[in-house]
Amino acid sequence: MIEVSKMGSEILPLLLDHGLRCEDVSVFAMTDLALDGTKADVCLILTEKQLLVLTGYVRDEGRPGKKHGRVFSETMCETFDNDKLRELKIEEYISTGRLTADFDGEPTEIAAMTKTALRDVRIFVKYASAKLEGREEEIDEADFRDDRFCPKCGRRYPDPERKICPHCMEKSKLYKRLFVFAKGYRRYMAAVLFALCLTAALGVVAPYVSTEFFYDKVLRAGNSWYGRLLEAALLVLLLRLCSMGIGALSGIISARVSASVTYKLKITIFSAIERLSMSFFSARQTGGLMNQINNDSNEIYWFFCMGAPELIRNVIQIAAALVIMLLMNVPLALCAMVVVPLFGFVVNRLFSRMHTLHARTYRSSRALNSTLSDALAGFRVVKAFSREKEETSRFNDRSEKLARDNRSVTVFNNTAFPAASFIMNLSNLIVWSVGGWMAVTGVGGMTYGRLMAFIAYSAMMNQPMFMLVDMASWFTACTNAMQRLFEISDAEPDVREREDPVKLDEMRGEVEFRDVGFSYEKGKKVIDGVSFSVGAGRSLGIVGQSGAGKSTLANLLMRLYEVEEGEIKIDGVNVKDLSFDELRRNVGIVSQETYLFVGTIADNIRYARPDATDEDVITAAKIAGAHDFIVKLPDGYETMIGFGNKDLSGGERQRVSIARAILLDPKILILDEATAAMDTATERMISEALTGISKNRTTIMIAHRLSTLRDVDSLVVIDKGKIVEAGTHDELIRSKGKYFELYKLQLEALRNIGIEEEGGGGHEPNGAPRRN
Amino acid sequence: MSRTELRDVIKIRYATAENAVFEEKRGFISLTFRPEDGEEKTYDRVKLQRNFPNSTPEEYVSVLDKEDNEICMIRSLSDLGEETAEILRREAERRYRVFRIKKILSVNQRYGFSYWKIESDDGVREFTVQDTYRSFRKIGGDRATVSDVDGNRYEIPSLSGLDRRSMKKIELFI
Repeated sequence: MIEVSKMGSEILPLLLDHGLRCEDVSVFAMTDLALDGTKADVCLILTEKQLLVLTGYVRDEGRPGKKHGRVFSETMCETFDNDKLRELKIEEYISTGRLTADFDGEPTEIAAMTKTALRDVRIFVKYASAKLEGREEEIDEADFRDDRFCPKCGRRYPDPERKICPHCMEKSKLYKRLFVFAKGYRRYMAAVLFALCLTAALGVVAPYVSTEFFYDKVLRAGNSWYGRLLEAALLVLLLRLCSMGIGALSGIISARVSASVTYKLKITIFSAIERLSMSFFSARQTGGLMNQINNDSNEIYWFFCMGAPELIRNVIQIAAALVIMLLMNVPLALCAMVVVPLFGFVVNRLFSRMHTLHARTYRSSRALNSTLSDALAGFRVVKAFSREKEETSRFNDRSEKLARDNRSVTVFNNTAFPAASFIMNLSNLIVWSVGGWMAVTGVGGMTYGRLMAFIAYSAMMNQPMFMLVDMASWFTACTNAMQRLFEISDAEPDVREREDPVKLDEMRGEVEFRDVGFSYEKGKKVIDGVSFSVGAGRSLGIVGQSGAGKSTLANLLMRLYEVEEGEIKIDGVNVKDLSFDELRRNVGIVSQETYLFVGTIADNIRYARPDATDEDVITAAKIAGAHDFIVKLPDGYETMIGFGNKDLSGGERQRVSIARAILLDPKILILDEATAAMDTATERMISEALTGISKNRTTIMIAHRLSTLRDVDSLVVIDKGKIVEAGTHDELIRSKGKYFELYKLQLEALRNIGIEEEGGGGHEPNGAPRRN
Repeated sequence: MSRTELRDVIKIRYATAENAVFEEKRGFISLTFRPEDGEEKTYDRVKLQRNFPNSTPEEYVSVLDKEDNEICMIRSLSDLGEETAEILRREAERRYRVFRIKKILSVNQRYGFSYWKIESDDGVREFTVQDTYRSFRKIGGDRATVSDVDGNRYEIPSLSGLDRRSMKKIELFI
């Protein structure tokens, strides 16, 4: 039996009811939806003769609290004879799906499912179809390894790619990880800690000196310190100076340590980002991401620079004040602490509210930033459609929301703090009255000076507690920031380099795609069963309408994404087995979207090979047809381009990118609509120049303009992710298929504007449309 | 693709009560359609695709064939007569079936992920959300959807209609 879903104990009696034994079942799976779309438990049971679909509910038997096992109460049973059953298929909807089949020549519904059960049903279909067709399907272990749940707590892993259970992961681990970055600063950190203890200790001594010591020793006759006012004042001054000095010193050290730690953190995150695969970026807005990294690391910086030392100092101070108060007068100390539980409760409530408000503000600020970068990046479009007003109002809305959220944070701060401080004042009031009564009646040896000291200590205990309200939210914000940053650095690239990559002595440039399948989104195949090969040094054109999947093929060959089915081989070696370095050194791509970095033109051309000589750069530029326009620029190759500098035209940018790829001198060159922004004459020239240098280079050209592909050795036509035709230009024209249609269409378009094909028809060898 | 076909591409063919007959058989919809400029043809399994699923689910509904090519478009379901509209409504409802959230029992947030327990129109459901902020989407002024890690979608038909306790749990995402 192929048990796709786990067969519970409640199923066995059910099988018996239907006259089946366990051995009779060949494939078993469960789904979670009845055909009418309501919640149900449905068994799909394939036997040698029939497919049984049993709908019902699994429920616990017996009284609650007492385990009696589970029963399946059946409400409906449908059977389908195997010999009439064909084409098991899953239709996927928005949130659900339906299993259909061809039964006795009629389309028939078999079962329904939510997307949760989809996985099981899909596997069921795979094995059941094989059984129905009499094929022997190889058992794939991965189908039965359900690793979607945390083995520890049974909860679902929230990220199917990362097997991390947030419940079983500890927060303290986050901080431990941060301390890894602080390695090498241990001595400084110890110094900071020591200084903090010292300031705390001095802070604790200071009130004693300025109250009890002063009133009861200096001002009262009969003491050794009586009347030594100047000395007492100097002592107080000295204490204050010391505590200030040490505080400043520890501040400087901790600022330095946290600055370098956050610097290291940023670098780590940035390199993690660089390492990540394309899919990570397409899922996130890049502007928001950068903002997030920056804000988050600042958050961490400030917390460790200001927050954490403050926290440590306060905790020490509270503890010390508490001990001193208890030593001075136990009943009064207890009185002072009466309010603490209430205070703790309030703080706790404020804590969660604060967290909500902060998160919301953070979100608004992210939204505002995205809007801003969106509007600025698309400025041309905004202007062209004269939508400035709307953009402004969109910005205004976001900005207003942020202001509103900021306001609620401030309002909260300004109301929550006084409320909390009122509670703290209650404790002062209690100390005043009880302590005052003690001093007046002389109970427990209370003196005036001691009462003053007591009040000072109770304030010392209360004030930092009060500050903890802030600290709590700060701590939360910092933890959140850390978690977000580690999330980025933890994100596993889906494309991973093999640990012991195959080494090719010299790449010849033979490319082979074998039954390649790929989808950006699960279930939506963009590339489906594509096979073709290009011999070393040959050229291949890929033709197809936009959205057909042409560029995806290039991305797959570059291994920017990972193929899901089939394999791509270079010189007979799977690209997965090659090192990134080897692959990307030998495969150059010029894509439709050119990106030029800020820098000179020469820098940009040299990007892939920084050691190239000026002559190499010029040669590459000449081949790419870029030299001609570069020499006309006042600064020549040293013209600054990129964001905020000279704006090159689309065609010029493409030529610079081609030069960049040529300089790399790759064995395989992919031109993905690389000349789309150029006029036909320039394109023609570049194409000829490229042919001249590409004698022993494999060239893959992707284009929808067929004239671009006039010189390639062979062509594949791709439509909806599948290869519909392949062959040479002449073969394809003769077979009068899709290519012929495209060709005719483009030819006609040219004819319409008065450009005729020389030689007429499509039968001349280089028969792509040509300018007169 | 020839030029006449090109003209076809930009023309919208509407299904009306006169030129289209939709029939339901065993949970499948078939269509017999006679375009103005073509011959009548029967498609035994058609798909309905709402073009504006959120704002006007019953208007501009595309009818697709097995290969997902558009056969025609329905301007408004009610154009086709009440009986047909009812059939199509049922079919569309099947395709666009999402779980409607009546009450939110708990939302446990951990590191950006969240675990939800809700009361839906079809009983209590629990699900896990991968990226809470991104998975929570507000639609129009008062509706919202959440998508779980499997891609199941849950809809809150009216945010203002939620009880206070439920609202408090999702306040942060709005």
